[in-house]
Amino acid sequence: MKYLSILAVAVLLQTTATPQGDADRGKTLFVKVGCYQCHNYEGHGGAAGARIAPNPLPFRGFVSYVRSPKGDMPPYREKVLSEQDLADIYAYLRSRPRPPASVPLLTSEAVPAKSSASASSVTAGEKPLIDNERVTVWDVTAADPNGPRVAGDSVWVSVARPGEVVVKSSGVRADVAALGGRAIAIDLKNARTPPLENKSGYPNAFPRPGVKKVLETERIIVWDYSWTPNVATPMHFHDKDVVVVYLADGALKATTPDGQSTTNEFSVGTARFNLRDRVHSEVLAKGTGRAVITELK
Amino acid sequence: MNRRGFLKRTAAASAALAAPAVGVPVEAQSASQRTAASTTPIMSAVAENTNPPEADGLTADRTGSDFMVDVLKALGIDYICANPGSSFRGLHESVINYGNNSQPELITCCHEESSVAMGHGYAKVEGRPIGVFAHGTVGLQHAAMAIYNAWCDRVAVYIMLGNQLDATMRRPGAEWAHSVQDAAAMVRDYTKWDDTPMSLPHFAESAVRAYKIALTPPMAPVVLVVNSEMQEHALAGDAKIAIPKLAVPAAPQGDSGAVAEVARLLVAAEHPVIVADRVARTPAAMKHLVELAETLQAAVIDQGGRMNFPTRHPLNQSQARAIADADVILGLELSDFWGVVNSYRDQLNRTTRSVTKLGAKLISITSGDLYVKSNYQDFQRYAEVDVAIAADAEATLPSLIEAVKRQITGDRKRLFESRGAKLAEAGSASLDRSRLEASYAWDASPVSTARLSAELWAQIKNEDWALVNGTGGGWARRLWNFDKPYQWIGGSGGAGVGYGAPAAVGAALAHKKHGRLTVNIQNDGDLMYAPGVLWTAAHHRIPLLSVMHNNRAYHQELMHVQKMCNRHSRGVDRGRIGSELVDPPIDYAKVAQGLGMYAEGPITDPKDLGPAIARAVAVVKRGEPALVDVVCQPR
Repeated sequence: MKYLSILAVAVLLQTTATPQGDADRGKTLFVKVGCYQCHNYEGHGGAAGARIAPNPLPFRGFVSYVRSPKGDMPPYREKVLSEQDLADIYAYLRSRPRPPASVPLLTSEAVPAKSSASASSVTAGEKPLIDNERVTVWDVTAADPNGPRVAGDSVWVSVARPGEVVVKSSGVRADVAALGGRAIAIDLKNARTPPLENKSGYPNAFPRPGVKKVLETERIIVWDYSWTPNVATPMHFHDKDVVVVYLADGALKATTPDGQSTTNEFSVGTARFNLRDRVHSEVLAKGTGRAVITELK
Repeated sequence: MNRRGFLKRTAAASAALAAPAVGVPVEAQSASQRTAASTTPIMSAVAENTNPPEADGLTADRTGSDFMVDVLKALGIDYICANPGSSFRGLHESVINYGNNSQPELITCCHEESSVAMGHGYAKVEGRPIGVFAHGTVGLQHAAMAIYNAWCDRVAVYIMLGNQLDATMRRPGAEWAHSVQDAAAMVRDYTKWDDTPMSLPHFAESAVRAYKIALTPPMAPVVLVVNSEMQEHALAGDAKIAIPKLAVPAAPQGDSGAVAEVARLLVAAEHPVIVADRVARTPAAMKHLVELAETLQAAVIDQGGRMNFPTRHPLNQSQARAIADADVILGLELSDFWGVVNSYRDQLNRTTRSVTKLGAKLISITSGDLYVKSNYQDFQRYAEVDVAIAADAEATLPSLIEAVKRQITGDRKRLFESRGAKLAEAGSASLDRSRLEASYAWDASPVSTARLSAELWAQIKNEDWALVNGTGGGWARRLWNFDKPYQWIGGSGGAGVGYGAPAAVGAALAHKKHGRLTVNIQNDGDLMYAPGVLWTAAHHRIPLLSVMHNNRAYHQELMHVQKMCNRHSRGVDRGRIGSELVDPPIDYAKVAQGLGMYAEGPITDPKDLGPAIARAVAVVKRGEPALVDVVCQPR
């Protein structure tokens, strides 16, 4: 019985363990037997094959797929590619570098063309975008290692990677590089104003159809919302002050219940502070509309 | 009236030499008379050693080809692309002298395949054809593959073939080898219409008819065979030959009842998906398609046969797998509807399976149903659709939009809004995913196709740009913001390699007058078919930025051969033999420089790419072509 248990463990280990592989040999094999043709030399994938590096399937699954692929991939029999060959290729794939934390070219559209120079050179001591009794808002890039000086709890809305938001406490800066290289930092001041009671007869601004709640703390609620072209939001009431960080280029037309309209343009990275106690509906007047909205409790 | 009968009133001396006895039937003529008539000694030794009866017999102020140029001008043909050929020397001379080489202007090409592909690219930008001159034999043989591409891509190319029909008029030697009984026969399976006019009035009528047919959806190449003798024959100075009036037919709209049924299905659907391929014939199409999609808040998959839908529109779901969830699929001008709703597995045993939900309704609107030929199989596998409308999709969109609006209720509208919000979120997430995927192998050498696309986009995005060939492994369509109707024209149509470079030059010729920065992502294998077109671009000062996706192989075929190697398990390390373009590697910058073009490369370090493209953009912006050779990852 004991012998059988040891055997079972041995079999299990054999079927789950990743064998030692030689990444250098694997690199040569990866080209020699044609893997690169669809997966590219770095295994990063492309139009003809999936990305398989640097985190391929678990080894047994990897072997199983290579021997008997589900889709169009040509099968590699043991006769032409041994288990050790596959282990070497696997080691090569796992040795491939992860992508850089920030690729400005892939996020540079987040920087408005006109203002890119100033936006990317914001440093501590320069003027914030917004500074009032509730928040100080900064436009920050990874190229700015020293600033800004956030004093209190802060919300960091990535401009480079839409939808990513982090919260930091007590003057701690976020890693802007990890946020894709550019973020809007909202430094929360101590002045607190509780939400207004909604007597408007309209629903509160949030939640609303299509909105995604990103996070909530005792001080803030962060929402991610995309306006749909030609579709007006329901008429709604803002019971809290908000900081809006736009992640697209466009214009919003806001209409109040008495029919008065105003249109405000925005571009990627535009930040606005809007006071509570407002009733309106919004519709996209131009471009595309997406924003991360931070409600201040 | 036969050809000679018509021409006799236009010519003097040569007609006098050639004419049989007037009023005497051919049957009544003596054998010697018939012989004399049929061996008219225009180029005989006797003729060459005898002074002509009148000096005027050697020259003419006006010829048939002058009139042909009048017809081309009347049709508004701006350019003629041609590699010179003696069978159309009359037309050639008339274009450059009688026509003053302006509208049409002769574009010097180094290969007939380039001539036709230039016309192919030009027509997709301008919406109307330019002309191609070629020999009816050797020129057409060179041109054939490019004509097939245009046929598959439903693009009008206006081809005129020189041919000496009358055997007794042919010069000995090459002209015989360059003559043919039925010149257009070779391409009749993949042209929409052809004719061999026998007189100048016949030419005028057929020229206008050919233009009209070519531009009627489904559009396609047409061929006119232009007899050499008719081109060169003298035309009386006072000869008046009418040019028929041209009226290009309005594109056919779908039947109103069928359109109403399609609208009902779309409005009732929970997950409608619109799939667009070669929809956009004019700039209006994109606006209509956006309106239909927004009215329904429906997902759109743009297959990229034309510039159908903005890449960053929230409803653009081209990178998502929307088909599997769809309950109604509207296919607009699809070249392969079956391929949209089925998957295909290319293994030893070829298998297929449906990828749609059970009961999904399929709707097709395509002008492809109006005109099909049997020999070449570009019509793809038969698709079992529920509603088929044989009509032009772009022309049908306005009535479909109205029909949809009439059927939308308040309840449906609220559902649409919710659906649209979800799709917008999915579209945004898809762009984020693309950007993340693009960052893998960012610093790799050879350069990744994603990096090539991103570096190129960074240099052109603030210009008025248009991409006319290549997508950098699909990355341009994933990463760039295409939002104007002229920013993309689709691919080759027939997947005939050799289309890219000349089509890009032709498209750049069309964009030139609009002052746009024309961009070409050029594959290396494609360029090697007929690189002489780079000289054409340089010679005619056609501004075009070509950035090479140089993977040093005919890579698509390389993958096919690898598949065979694996299937037979008798060696998987030799698949590259016969498909690679290495040893020696081709230096495309030097090739381009040798053809008179500004060029840089080969670039292997991705850090060098941005500055090189910036320098090339500066060259293009001053009105010249430029090429940057980039050694890239395969895909």
